[in-house]
Formats: sequence, C-alpha cells, structure tokens
Amino acid sequence: MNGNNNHIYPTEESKRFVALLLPIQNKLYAYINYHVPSKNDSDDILQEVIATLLNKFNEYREGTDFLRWAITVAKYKILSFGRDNNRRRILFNETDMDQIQIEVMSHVNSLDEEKERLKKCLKKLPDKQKTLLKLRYDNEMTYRQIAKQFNVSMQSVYKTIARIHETLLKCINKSSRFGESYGPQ
Amino acid sequence: MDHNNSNLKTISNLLSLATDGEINDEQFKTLKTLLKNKTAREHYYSLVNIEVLLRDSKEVYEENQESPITKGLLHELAEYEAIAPAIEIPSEKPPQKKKKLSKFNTVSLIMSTAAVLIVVLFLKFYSNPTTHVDVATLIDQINPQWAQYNDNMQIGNRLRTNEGPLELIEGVVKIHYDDGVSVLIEGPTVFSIERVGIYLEYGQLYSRVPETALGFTVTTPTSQFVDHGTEFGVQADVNGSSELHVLKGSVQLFAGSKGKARTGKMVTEGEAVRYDANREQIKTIPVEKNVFVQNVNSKTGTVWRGQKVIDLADIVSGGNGLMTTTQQQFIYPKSGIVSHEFESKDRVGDYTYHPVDMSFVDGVFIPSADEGFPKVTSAGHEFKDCPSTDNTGREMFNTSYYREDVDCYKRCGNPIFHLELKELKQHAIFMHSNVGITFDLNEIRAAHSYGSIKEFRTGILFNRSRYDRMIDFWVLIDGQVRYQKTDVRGSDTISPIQVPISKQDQFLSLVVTDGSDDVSGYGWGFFIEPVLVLGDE
Repeated sequence: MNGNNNHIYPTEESKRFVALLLPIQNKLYAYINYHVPSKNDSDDILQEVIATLLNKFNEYREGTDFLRWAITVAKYKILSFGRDNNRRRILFNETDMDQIQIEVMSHVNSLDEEKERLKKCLKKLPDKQKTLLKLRYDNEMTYRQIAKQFNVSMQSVYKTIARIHETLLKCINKSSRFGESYGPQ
Repeated sequence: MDHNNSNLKTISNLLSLATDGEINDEQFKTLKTLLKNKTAREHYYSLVNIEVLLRDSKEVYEENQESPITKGLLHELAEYEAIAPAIEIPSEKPPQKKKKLSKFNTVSLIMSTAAVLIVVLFLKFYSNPTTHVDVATLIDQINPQWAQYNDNMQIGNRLRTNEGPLELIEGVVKIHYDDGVSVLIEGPTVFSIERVGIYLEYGQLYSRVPETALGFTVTTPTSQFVDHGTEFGVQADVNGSSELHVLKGSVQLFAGSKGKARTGKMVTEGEAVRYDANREQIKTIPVEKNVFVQNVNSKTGTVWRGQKVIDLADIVSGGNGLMTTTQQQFIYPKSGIVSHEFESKDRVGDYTYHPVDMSFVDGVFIPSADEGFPKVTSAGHEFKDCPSTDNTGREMFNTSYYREDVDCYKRCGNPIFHLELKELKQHAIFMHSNVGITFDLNEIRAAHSYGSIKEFRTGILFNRSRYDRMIDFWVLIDGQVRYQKTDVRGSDTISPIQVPISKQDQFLSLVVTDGSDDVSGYGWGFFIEPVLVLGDE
C-alpha cells in the first residue's frame, strides 16, 4: 500500500476563486443539470467547467458577474459534450438553449430562496420519507441499489421518491405564496 | 388537464431514470418532446432544482440519524410495487466508457492545475457554509505534522462537519466520535469529518465501530464502506483505487463512480479487497492484520498496529514492547545501572533490590537467600523460595543485538555460545546465573491499554556448550513462584512456559540461579521470545 506524497496547499488565487465559486456552485450545477439530466454527466461537466474557470481565472475581471461568466463557459462545455455524444444525452440544442435562456436563468436565480423553503418543508416530512431521502441523497444510493436493498422494484423506489418530490414542490410553492405556515399535510 | 398532469408525471419519471443513467434512447426522445411545452419545462426545472437542493441538504439528514428503516417505509415502497403501471426499465447497463478526464481522475486534475484538487475538496465541504455540527474530538496524536491551514489542531479539539478538509502530512492521530466510533488516521492523509462517517480523499485509516453506531461510513472518491459492527482499515490512493481490510465483523462495500451503477460486496472478518478505479474491478487480496495503526498513546509514545504480544526482550533494550528499540544496552544487576557499553564490573551482590531507570522495568537483583528472603519488587515482595547462591551475577541484555566487537563475547571464546547468540538474534533475554529482573505490569498495562495481559509466554534454554552445568529458571508473580524448572542442562531442548496473569498481578520477575551442582560460572541462560500475550480490552 502506498501513501500519497503530493501535498497540495491552497494558493491565495485558489482561495479567491473558491470564495467566488461557492456561492454560485449550486446554481451553476442546476444550469448544467437542466440541459444534461444525468447526474454523472453533470458532475463530469461541472468538473470540466471548474477546471476551465480556474485555468482562465486571470481573465476574470474583479467585480463583474462571476455566475454569468461561469454559465457562459458551462454552455459551451454542454454543447461540446453534446457533440461528443451525438446529442443523445443533452436535452436542448444551441438554438433551443438561446431561446430558453431567460426562463432557465429565472429558475437558476430562484434556487437560493427555494433552498431556505425546502429546508423548512423537509423538516415537516414524516421520518420514513426522510429516511428514504437520506439513503438516496446522503448515502448517494441509486434507485437500483435501494431497490435491491429492500427487494422491491426500481420503479417503486423512484416513484415513491418522485411522490415525495411532488409533496416538497407543493410545499415550496405554497410557502412562497402564503408564508411559512403551510407544509406537507 | 388530465393529459397535462399525466405528462408532468411522465416527465418526473423520465427525469428519475435519466438522473441515474437508466434512461434508454427512446425514453430520452420522449422527454425531449415533452419539454417542447413551456409549462412542462417550468415543472421540469423545478424538479431539477429539488434534486440539486436535496443533495445539498445534509443537515436535515444529520438530524434524522435515529430513524431506522421501518416496516412502514417498506410498506410504502411495496404499495407502489403493487399499483404502479408498467414502465420499461432497461436492464443494468455495462459501465460507460471511461472519459479522458473523469471525475475521479485526480492525477489529471493535479497535472492540469495544482490548485484544482484543493478547490474540489473545499467545494465538497463548503456547500453548506453555515452548517457545522460538532461530532468528534481529537483525543490523541503522535508526531503529527498538519498542513499549514490545519496548524491549530490540538488534542482536545472538537471536530465539526463542513469545516473543510484536514490534511495530516505525517504522524498518527486518534479521533473519537460522540457516538463511540474511534478512528486512527496515519499521514499522509487528507480527510474530512462527516456526521456519521468520514470522507477519505486519500491516505489510510482504521475504524473501530461499536454496535451502538452501526452504519458508520467511510467514503472515498470511488467507494463507500458501510459498517455492520466492525473493525476495519481503509487505504485510498490518489488515483481513486482503494483497499478494505476487515479485522472484525463485516463491511458493505459500494464501489464505482457516484451516479453510475455501482458494484457491491459484503466483506467479512479476515477478508480484504482492493477496488481498482481504472479497471473498475474488485479483487480479493490477503488481509493485513498489523499494518493499520489501531491505537496510540502519546504519553508513552506507543503506536499499536494490532500486535497481540508485548516483547520483554524489546523492553530490556529500551523499547516499549512493540519492537521499537534500535539499540543494544546492558543492565547490571548489582547496581541497576543501564549502559550502552559493556564493562566488566564487580559482580558480587549486596543483597539489595535495585530500581532501574527504564520504562516498564521495575528493578533488578542478584538472588541469594543467605541474608534472608531477597526483595524482588519495589513494593517489597519477597522471593521466599529463593535458593542459596554464590551471590554473583552479571549483565543482562537482549540477544537481538549481539555484537561481535563486544569484548565479553570474544573473551568467552566459545564458538557454540557465539553461534547460539547469533541464532537467537530475535527476542531473547540473556541471563547468566545468578540474576533477576522484574517488570512492572501496571506500567505496561497503562501504556498498552488496547488489550489486557492474559499470560506470559517464553521458552527457556541453557547454553548447549555446557553439558556439565545446570541452572534453575524461575518465573515469579509478585514474588510468588508461578513456574520453576530446576537443573536445566545444556543438553535439554527449549522448554516452553505459559504463566497465566490476572488483572491483580503487579510484577513479573524472571530469575536464573545456579543449579544443584553448586558450580558458578558459565550459567548462560536464555528466555527465548519472552512475551506478554494480550487478550481483548
């Protein structure tokens, strides 16, 4: 067994980069995921985007919109991914992407607010539903793995979780209209 | 409206399949078609947002640690099993072709830019910058060297989730989680604390998980190890490959890139596996029982890798019993002096017990009953069965460090004696009659608290060159004889000894005296591989 001797310390530049990236990381990821629904593909594209942003960080002008710049890079990474995969794994072509840009950015920018509402809605879920979400999102189990663990079909797993998603979505939408008192029934 | 609701449900289902890479081409086309509708797209974006945010809501899962997998949950899943309409689910697909820059090809990332690795690590851990939960304590460390950005790590520090990676460049640290799990980490290692587990970017660690904390999970970039009541070691390479060694209980391994279909294997006690990230294969390998650090004690400098014995010859040489010594030294029974140089000293005893300034050794003595029962411990225990001797004794030493340049050996001039010393290079204490040495069992217990002392084990031998001589071997506990073998001759073979030791026993003494031939000189006795055998804590 060999240990690793590549000790890597954060530079001042990388710390600045992280400080800019962290607040928009979820938004960047959501943008990618809208166009590329596979989690694994989105993860890979996000890695490539981050690597490109870091490599080109000296081109970024302090004070300008970092998210906008990141999304510009992400758009081209997504299109490049689409070309490499014969457009089989991305949902929108370049023309479509331009046409839906406004609605996409609207949902990207609503993410922070939805996050706070989601936290409150999650706390109202019954424990067994939280447990299922924990398996899926904290333990990062696939639907297939959860199905195998409980000896049920994959279909019943993702449909159950989809139902929980719908409940949470309703809760988030209601609380945005009427405030905190609404939650899953 | 029903048609719209039906489409929205279909979108939801197809998104679920697509997220896990389980969607086929036809289904993907269906999803694309449905998303030409603006309302459908709005719903779709909202669902994606939920997915993204759920992955980022760890504090809620942390609060929910105590919920078991209940029958109610299974029933809920089974309900859907009964009523869900059929939808085509593709069979498990073969793994996707490896990309040139894969998520876990961190070597490539490092080569492209040195800062990216740390950036990625910080991103993982700062996703909830306001959520920090105290879950563990740094309870001990030996010779630690932490990275500059962790240089405030001290014993007693509380460790929290979501506080960034911890980089241990070298040394060993022991972390104790509030739920009873202990983790030993040996540098070089980069890791971070999780609510019910630990993330290991690379390096190695050993976990001891009590039954009250089942489900403790060690995660690496390409694997997850879920505890089922165990002790296990994990080693993770920078390139994503990892090894699991299970010493007790069992561990469920999930291997493979996240989001893809993963390979699983239950690894049980005495088994070990290696996950090769490049080939995406799990291979059985021999288990390593004494490689991972399993406990440390900074007060005594002890780093324990699972050894089941404490070597007393190592202690005679100045070690701590875990083969840590690197030097030869001589202990003189007449005075208690310890010297690295051999000297021919006056060997006549003064009927006094002499404390020794060494860890784990209480004292030494030249046994003789001519002036009453000799004291053989610092607590005043007496050796009441001590025979009468000529009251002379000479230096004791660990034969592992036989040195040809030492004058004694040259002067001895006995080729068989030299040969025996060479043959016994490992773990023997040379004791020429008449001498005794006492070990402090309580001090040894304090330093080696990972196990309880169950017995003393050794083999006794009289130097074969002296067929005309006889010597006696004794093993005492608190001055009481627990073993004796008298008139051992050079022609005798090695005699094994096992002496049980209880928690109340305080001192172990090894003694060699002249035999009944009443001849002094050339009484070269050996306690071969003298060890204290440990049982479980």
